[in-house]
Amino acid sequence: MTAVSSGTVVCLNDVTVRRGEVLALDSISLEIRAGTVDALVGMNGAGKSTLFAAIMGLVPLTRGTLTVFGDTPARARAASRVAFMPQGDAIDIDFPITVADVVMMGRFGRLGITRRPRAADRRAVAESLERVQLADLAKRPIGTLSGGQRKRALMARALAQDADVLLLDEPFAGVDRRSEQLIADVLTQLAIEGHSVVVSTHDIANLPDRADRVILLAQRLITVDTPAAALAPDMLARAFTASRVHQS
Amino acid sequence: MTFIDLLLQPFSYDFMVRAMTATTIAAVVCALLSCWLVLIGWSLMGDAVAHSVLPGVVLAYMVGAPFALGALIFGLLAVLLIGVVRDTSRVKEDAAIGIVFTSLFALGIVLVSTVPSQVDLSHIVFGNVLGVSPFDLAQIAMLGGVAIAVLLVKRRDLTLFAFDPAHAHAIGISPRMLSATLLGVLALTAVVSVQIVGVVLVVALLIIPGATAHLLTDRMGRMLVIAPIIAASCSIAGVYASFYLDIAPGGAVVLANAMVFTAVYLFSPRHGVVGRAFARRRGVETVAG
Repeated sequence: MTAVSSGTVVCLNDVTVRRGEVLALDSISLEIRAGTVDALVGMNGAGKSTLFAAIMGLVPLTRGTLTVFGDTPARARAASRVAFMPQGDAIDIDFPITVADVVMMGRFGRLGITRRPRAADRRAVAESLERVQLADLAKRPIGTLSGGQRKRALMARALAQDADVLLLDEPFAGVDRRSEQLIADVLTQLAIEGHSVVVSTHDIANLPDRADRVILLAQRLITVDTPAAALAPDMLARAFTASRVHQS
Repeated sequence: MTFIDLLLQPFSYDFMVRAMTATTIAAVVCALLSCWLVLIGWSLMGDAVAHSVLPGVVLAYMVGAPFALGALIFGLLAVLLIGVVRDTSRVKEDAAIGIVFTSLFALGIVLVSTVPSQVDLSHIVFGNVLGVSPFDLAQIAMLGGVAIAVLLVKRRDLTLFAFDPAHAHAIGISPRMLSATLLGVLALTAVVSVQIVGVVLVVALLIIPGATAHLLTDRMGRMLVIAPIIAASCSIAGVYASFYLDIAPGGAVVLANAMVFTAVYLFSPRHGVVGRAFARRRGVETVAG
């Protein structure tokens, strides 16, 4: 067992996940700390989504241990300590729901049995919308937003949850420049406030400005290092030429 | 005879009062539930559960138990079996639904053929609005009340489940529990409604009001008001029509719903096909970016 040092929020020790015949994650040991932005980089099928799913407790571990604040992922979820921002392309754009209602759903884990929002919850929603600059669109149906605005709405939902750990799946993919910059700024700000932020991304060029660390993944952990070191050509070569699916 | 007399005359018969009340209760429960079913894409599930209650009803008559009990058991059994077939084989959900409900429905038909003259199959299949007894009405009111209470208390969670079950899971709210709640209420609702409009037409009440309301508003809260109002109005109109035109009440209620849907589908201000066509011609985008 790796000792949980202070500031460690998520601790993976020898985490292995097998999905059918496919080895999705191979013996990953990793610590995610408070106050950092980590970028999760790897090819499609490198295990990025599985890693998120493991932290959320969505997939059973074949081997190894994974703790969030020293406890099980399920407990961390129940306490609303982990927020997940999906890619957003699965959203039903005909769903009769406003942007503010979507963001309010970030608060549900903290509300009573009927999830009736209190004044503090409305305030949290308003502040989150303000932060992603969507306050003026709060009453719009979610389906009328552009791709970038929709990502920002989902980000506001994660912010409203007031979680300690934020996992974001491709937050920069398919968004306009303004949204991209805005999302990046908010993530930096979140880390400064002490949150742990993990972002999966394909956009390697901008990483040095946006991430404190890069987690390079190809089923196995290639490296965890500063962007400059992790994105060195030999490291990238190892991540991007590793056999996509090795079976054992 | 004045118009008021025309409106009041059906109420001089007790059976008409019961028919009107029972139909309205069933329609309101179905309409509330339909809002979530159409958004999740579970319309077929309503059809399946409604058909599956048939053997339960027949068995209940055979052993002398309340028909609602038998229906509820088989409604829940159908939901369970569909889940099992889907999750433990390579059969997809729509096929699993089709296999389970037709099999149970067939079992019901076979059972009916073994009980001579005690159960009138046509009453279960097509409903028997005018034959609602005071006991039936009490049963419908009680079960309907339970279903409405559960739906209203859990309405925000159910909407969360319909919109983004993955997010529900992420914040520690079990989508499995919510799905089970919704299916349990669906079984209850099918039981309430089968006696009114029958197995075949229950599905209409479980889909049309929600679909109609969805074409009229972009707010879930409003859908949950509009759908029951439409359903209740159509029920009352349908039962009146059946009284004066001497037509089948179950069919009349569903036809009333269908007519309202057609009108809304064509002329809904924002989501109707006619309105959208005009908006396109004027070069105005109905939905601003």
